[in-house]
Amino acid sequence: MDQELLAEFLTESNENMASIEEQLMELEARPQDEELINAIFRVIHTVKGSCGFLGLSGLEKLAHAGENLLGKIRSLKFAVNEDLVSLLLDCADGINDYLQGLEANGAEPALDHSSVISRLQAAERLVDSMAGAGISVVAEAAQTAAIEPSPVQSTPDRDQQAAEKSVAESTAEAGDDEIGVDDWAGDFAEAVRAAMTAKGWHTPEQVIAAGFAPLRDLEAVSPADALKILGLSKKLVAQGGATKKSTETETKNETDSAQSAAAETEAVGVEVMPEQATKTATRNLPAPTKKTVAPAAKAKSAGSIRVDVELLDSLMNQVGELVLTRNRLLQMVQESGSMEFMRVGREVDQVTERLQSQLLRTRMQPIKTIWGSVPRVVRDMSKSLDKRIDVVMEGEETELDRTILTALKDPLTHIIRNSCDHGVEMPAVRRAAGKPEAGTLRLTAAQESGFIVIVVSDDGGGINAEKVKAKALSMGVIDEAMAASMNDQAALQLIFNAGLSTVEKVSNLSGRGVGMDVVKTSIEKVGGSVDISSEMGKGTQLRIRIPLTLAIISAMIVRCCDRRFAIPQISVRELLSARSTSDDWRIIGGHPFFRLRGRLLPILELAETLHLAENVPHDGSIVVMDMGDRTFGILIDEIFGAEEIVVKPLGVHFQQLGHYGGCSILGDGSVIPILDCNGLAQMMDLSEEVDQAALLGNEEHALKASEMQHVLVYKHGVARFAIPMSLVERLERFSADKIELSGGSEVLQYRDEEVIPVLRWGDLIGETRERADASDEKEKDEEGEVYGLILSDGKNRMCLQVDEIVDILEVPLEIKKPAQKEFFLGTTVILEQATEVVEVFDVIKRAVPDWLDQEAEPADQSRRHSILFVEDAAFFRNLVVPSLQAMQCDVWTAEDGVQACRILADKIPDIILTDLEMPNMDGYELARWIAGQERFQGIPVVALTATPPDEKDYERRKMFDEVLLKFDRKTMTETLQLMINRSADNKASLN
Amino acid sequence: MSGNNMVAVQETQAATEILTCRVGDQWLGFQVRQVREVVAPQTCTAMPLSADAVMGLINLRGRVITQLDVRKVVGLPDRESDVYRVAIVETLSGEDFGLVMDEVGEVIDLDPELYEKTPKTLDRIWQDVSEGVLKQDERVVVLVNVERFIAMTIPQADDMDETRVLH
Repeated sequence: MDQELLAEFLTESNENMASIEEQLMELEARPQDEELINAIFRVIHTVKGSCGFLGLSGLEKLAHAGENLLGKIRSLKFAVNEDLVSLLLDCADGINDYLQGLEANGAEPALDHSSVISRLQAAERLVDSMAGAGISVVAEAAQTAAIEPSPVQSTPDRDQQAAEKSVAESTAEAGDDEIGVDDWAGDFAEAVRAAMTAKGWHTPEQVIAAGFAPLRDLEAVSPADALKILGLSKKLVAQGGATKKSTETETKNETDSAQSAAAETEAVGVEVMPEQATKTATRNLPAPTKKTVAPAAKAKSAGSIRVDVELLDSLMNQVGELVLTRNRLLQMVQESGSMEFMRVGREVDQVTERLQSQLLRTRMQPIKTIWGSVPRVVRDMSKSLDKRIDVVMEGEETELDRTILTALKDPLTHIIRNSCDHGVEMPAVRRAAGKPEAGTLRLTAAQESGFIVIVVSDDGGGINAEKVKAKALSMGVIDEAMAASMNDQAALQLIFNAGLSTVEKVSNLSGRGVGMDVVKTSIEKVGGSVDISSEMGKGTQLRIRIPLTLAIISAMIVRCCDRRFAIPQISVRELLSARSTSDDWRIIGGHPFFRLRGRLLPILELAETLHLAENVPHDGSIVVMDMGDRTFGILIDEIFGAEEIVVKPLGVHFQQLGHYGGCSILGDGSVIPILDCNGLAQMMDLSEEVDQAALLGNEEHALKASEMQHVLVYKHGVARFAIPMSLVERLERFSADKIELSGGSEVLQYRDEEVIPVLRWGDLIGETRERADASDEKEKDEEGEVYGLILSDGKNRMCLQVDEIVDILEVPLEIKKPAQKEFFLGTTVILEQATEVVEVFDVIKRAVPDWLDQEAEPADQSRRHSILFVEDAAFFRNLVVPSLQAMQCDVWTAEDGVQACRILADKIPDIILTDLEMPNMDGYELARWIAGQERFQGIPVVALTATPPDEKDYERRKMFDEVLLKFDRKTMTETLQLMINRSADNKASLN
Repeated sequence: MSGNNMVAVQETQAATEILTCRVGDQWLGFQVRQVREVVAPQTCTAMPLSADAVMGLINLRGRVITQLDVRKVVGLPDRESDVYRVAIVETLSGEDFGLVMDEVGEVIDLDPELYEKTPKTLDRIWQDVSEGVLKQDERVVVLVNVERFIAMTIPQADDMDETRVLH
């Protein structure tokens, strides 16, 4: 089989089949909807059509039978009843079975769906005859029932055996050409037909003449079969053989397919008395068709490729390893002190980060993946229980890690079954209680403060807490004293205790299999919790809380006093080696600080904080934490590295301890506590003076709210220059010989692909060539190599050759003295030295005069555009700011709404871009404040968030001009660019 | 039942069966139904700043369980040897705990003949957590209510403030 074709077929069919179940159920509600029938027909038709191509004969037969029935329903505009829908659902299930098998093995599975097929065929004939004779299904059923009042009965076991036997026989007799009985009773087992032929009963008339008793006495014919054969004969005689021809064709189709007696019971059941017989069949025979029923409708995302989950998991592991290696590498890079290594390291770092976060997202799936089968489960349940239950689902798009989803599927199904079975009352009871006859089962999923909350509620009779208590008491789960002290809410939770059920007799639906105790354990296994609440007469509600953080988190494994701790990587900004010999240590007000790039970092000595040791030497490593509102370092003895760990919840003894966020199990099997850095930060208990001291030392901290930028500082002679990193693509060191002369200007062969223009800094600042040459000579003498800054906007590149690189820093670019000359923005102070800030665009214009013109007008204009970016997490600031800078905008950053307001007090940006969740003043409050200030009218306020809106948020988010996702950089830049252009247009039109 | 082997306790045993354990000189009785199993010492990760009774966390076949030192709870001096037994008990909240005992004895029947109310002479702590005693010839077995026993070890919010005082 062509595997590529097969894969395509599977993708397409799975997508189509995913919706068919829903459509069928809709059809049940609106039987006359032609569009719907057409849609369903098309799906089955497509499946059947493709089968021929791929040589999938089994599936083809099944799909064909389904198609024929649907075709009949469609052409005769036959109003389907629920039995027909059930049958069609079974057909869909069968098709799904095949698809699953194909997916798993790449070859058509050997499945026996002959019972469904023959039921489909029988139903088709029925539809035909009913519609043709103008009799309704129900009327016919009543009529037939009047003729043959004895009930149809069958036992699954015997039918099963008969089916197996007949399979063997029919295989043995394949190709049998006998005509007669086969022409009209082809649906019956080979043995039955053979016995009839042996008796000389070839036609319906002959059977009727023989009568019921002799027919029943035949060895191969069960009494039920006898009844059915007789019924069929009578009908055929009554119709005068009108259906004979079509029956003949079908029989030919079927002769090679195994016929099962069990199927026959149902097939003719449909034919003779559809209402009653199928119901009986479903009740008595859940096994034959249900055994192979696949979990219904798998939601497959459309327009995507299919990736093996194993592959994804293994990728996940690899990325975990990569993260680990990256951390080791970064440490080495840090130690090496080499600029070039640092640059490469930084890139590796960023790429790894992105890779990881994106890969994590590939594991996220909407909850509808597992909810898809709920309507079907409820439908089947309510049918077999004779109840009426509607399903309402909200928040189907809520995403969860697929590991959690998989773990949730069974418990959820069980909860739903339980609600249908024990919760919703019988229609009569509901009516008596003044409720609508149809019960409602409501499923909601939403994100709630770091958790996903799934609620399954019904409006049924509720659970009697006293009854639960009594039951628990009688089973010895609790004793009298406990029962007395227990309130209703606590008593209800006993439901989760093994072996408790409120319904006296164990129902075969939800009583079976997993109990509520298993539900609880499986939910807890993935770090979740479940509780139940109920109000008598009103209904029952189950709340499942699953932590979002369950997903594997990345954490630094550190050692402190021979104990290991995990620090969630999400708030780790950097790692420092802090030897006791370092002169960066400061003690202010008795508290240790570490000087980091001109700032004083308050240090938390983990050993002392956790009472592990006293007077620890200031020696080891510092993990720099960025908590949004504050930055601090944790002093520990050693960093082992990063590891992907699964967060497990801590028991009740640790609920009061703010400094633990959970625990995890390491590769060696030992348990490791995970530190909650917010809790730790609060434990730091810095007195006011210390805060003051910290701030004094952190002159730059106050400025941080304004304009932090990454700049590269280089030297030329003794003068220092700084260039914003936003357009610096890379830093190259190459042999000076590589600069070639081409057409009067200098060029460089860049990475064997491209020839880019080269400008020498010395030339730009008007140094004479002699001097420049001399300095070149000097360079060559030493190493023969020069530095080049590759400037790029993604399309064009150029190389700026400089003498000596000093450092790359994040500094507030406060221009102290505006420049008067070309190529310069002005002068600033970096590292306590006057440094001239280079105007990159002037440089670029010199090298590639039409560069900016290609970019279309706004690029040039937008240079004067500014964006206020409010975001508390340094990680996202670092992620987003370069993108904004690359749009040639001035970026002012603030860490929360309060800082933003301060900046807005004397500046008006073109766009305000803000995070939603922030300390002190969040995005909503900020937006409200801005809306109240007249001078900000017409300035777009854009929300940037990591989470798609949930229902609650939806309203609130309306106050923003746009809500963008943090990870979707492309949409973000496009949207912002559009806004900038628009505001430029506005300004232009105003002028 | 003795020795160094892990002792798996059948959950199905009648509610009247009692597992006896020794802490110091005191014998305690736990309902067999509430004891999942008894295990040998496991690698235990201490949790700094947690309540006194908390010895740390153990990994029992992938489940993290809080291990409580019964000696600490009842105010006995620290154990001198590192030979001990951990009874894994289950509670109504669904959380399991490891109770560290000096020794695990045998399973006895709850004989009504031997049952008495907790004598006032017993240590105060036992008055709080016991549901009576079994008086055998040579010893008194205190029947422990696991729920109440565990509840006693859980720190209250006010207790924690003391541990929060740092520097």
